[in-house]
Amino acid sequence: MKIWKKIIRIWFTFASLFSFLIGWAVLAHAPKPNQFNPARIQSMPQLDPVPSLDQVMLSGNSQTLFRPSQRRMILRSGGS
Amino acid sequence: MQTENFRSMNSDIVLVAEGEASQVNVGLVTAQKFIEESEKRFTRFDEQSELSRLNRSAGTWFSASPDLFEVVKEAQVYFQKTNGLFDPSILPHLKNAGYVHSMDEIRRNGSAPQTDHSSTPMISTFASVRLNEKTSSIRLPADLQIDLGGIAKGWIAERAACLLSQYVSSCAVNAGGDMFLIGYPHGQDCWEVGLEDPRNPSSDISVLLLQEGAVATSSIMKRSWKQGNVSRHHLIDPRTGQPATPPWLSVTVLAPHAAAAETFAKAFLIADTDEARSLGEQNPELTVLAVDKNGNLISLAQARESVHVFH
Repeated sequence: MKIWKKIIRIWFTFASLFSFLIGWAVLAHAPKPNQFNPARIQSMPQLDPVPSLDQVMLSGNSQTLFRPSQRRMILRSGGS
Repeated sequence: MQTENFRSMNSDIVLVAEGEASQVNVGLVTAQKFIEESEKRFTRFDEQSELSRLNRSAGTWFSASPDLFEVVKEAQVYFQKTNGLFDPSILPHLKNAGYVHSMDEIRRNGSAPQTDHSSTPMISTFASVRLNEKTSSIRLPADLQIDLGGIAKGWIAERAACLLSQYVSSCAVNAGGDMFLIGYPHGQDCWEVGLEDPRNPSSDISVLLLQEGAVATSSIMKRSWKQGNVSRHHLIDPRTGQPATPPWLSVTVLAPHAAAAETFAKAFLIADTDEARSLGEQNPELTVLAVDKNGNLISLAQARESVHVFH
């Protein structure tokens, strides 16, 4: 029985070492991931800032936010 | 969507509600009854109203109903918050300007009577009104009389809407332009409210898409009359005791509560530019829109977390 134990131990040792070396070799020859290259980044187009409500109103473009109503509303606020 | 129109508080009242038909009817009747009873309580044009009795009791403690006590208490809060620009103690000045009868009566007569402008000057201010929470009592200083016209309508609209909402899924109460909105019409995520053009009340200058809450408008065009040859209106500047001469024809305020919307609408209308800026900074929950004499709509303050959309 003692000899079988020794044989199994040696078998596991060599099998593990062999698997490790095979895995190392496979990964060493695998294709490399893309490296970061700032030159390849495309520049984004420049966007105008979104105007605030006050800016829109002061610029006289208030019609985009406030449109005269064409129909009669059920609820109206006109002052008391 | 079911609507109910009637006249109360010298204003057109519109109740709008949606829900199960029989419940909507009960809710509309309940809300209308509350509004009509509140008008009787808060009017200064009826000698028997609770407000008139409070004014006659000046100088002594007056045992008030819970509703009157609450409105006077809120009036004190907004007197402070508006830095005194909303002031219920301007009643003698209103009378001097000829506002001694209801607006419906003044319109029927065509003009307001000339009044004695040499009335005894008041020494007390609205801040000196004393309230006793335990006994629900109010004590006006002997030389002070109050008019709750600048806050009661909004307060009544909100209370009526809360009553109505117990019977319906969504509702709105509009008391002469001071309104409170609860829930949303079926399939919509906002209420559409027309913003009346103060120069031409039959048309709207814009449509507001509003979330739940309150909206109120104050205008120098609505309650105006002739006193002799002089044009008068009901928005008294407490600093001068005279009808205000603002650069705006109307101011609309969106706020979480109707009493706030109504009192701040008056305050922003009376305020000068610096005061308006300061009020806006001190009360970031308000959105304030003004219409100038040329009909331009201008934003005086915009709530930081506002989700109001306009078109």
